[in-house]
Amino acid sequence: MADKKQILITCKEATLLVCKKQEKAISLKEKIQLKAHLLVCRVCQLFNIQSALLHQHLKKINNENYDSKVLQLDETQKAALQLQIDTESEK
Amino acid sequence: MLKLESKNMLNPKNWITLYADYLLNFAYFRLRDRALAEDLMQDTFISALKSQHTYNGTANEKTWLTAILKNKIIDYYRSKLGKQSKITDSIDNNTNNDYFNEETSFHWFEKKQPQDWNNPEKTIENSEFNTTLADCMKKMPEKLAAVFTLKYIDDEATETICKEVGITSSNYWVMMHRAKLQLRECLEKNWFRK
Repeated sequence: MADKKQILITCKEATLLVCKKQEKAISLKEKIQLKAHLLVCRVCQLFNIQSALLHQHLKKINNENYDSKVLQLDETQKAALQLQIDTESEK
Repeated sequence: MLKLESKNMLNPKNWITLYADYLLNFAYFRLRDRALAEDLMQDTFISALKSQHTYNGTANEKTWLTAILKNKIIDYYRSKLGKQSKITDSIDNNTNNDYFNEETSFHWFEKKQPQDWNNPEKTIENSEFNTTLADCMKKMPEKLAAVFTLKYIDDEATETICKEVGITSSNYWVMMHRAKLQLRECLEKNWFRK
């Protein structure tokens, strides 16, 4: 028996379910709640579409695609570190 | 004997030249704090020296060192997240970051509502988008960023993340939800409707 109160959810709950759906951590009941909410709420529909797009994009790029050479140690720092390692390994 | 020779070997004499910058950036990208990243990079080499005897040569040197650093980063995340019993209260107290009216309408606050994006499928492929994305990730509160990074940069399973940093799955969802609301909003302001 479907309980009306159980089908209606708030925008906060709906957007949380959008996040769960992306990780396939959504139950059947939640799926129905989300579908029903998205039918009537244009704002959450937008959130759903946009965050799906971002999710796909984030999944596609891995850390190598980010700015991975932002920082560089200068030669003095490197020499000091190497010296530290050399001293440690002789212990 | 031949078998032994084909195995990977550790050569600490070359570590700094070969891996210091790599490990520094690996840590910086995940922690967004240069001093902290430098500390953990340095600790990694020291720990690696001390546990040289555990190295069995199956992974290459770089992978092995990265794994040590990764553990240090997770320890750091856990120290920030794990002891928090009320994570939800402590994420941020800034009321500017409330998205939903939880008293009367139960709807989005008007000024927080997502807007239409112009041609997002196309502009998201622009290489500069990833710079904006990285900037927006830098703006995330530390705790949210920790969870978000483990999910999307390190591609870890949700269960693993919860175990590693010591949070419950409901805390995980609260944080991921909030992280995505903030990230979406930041990208809208700085990219899609700029």
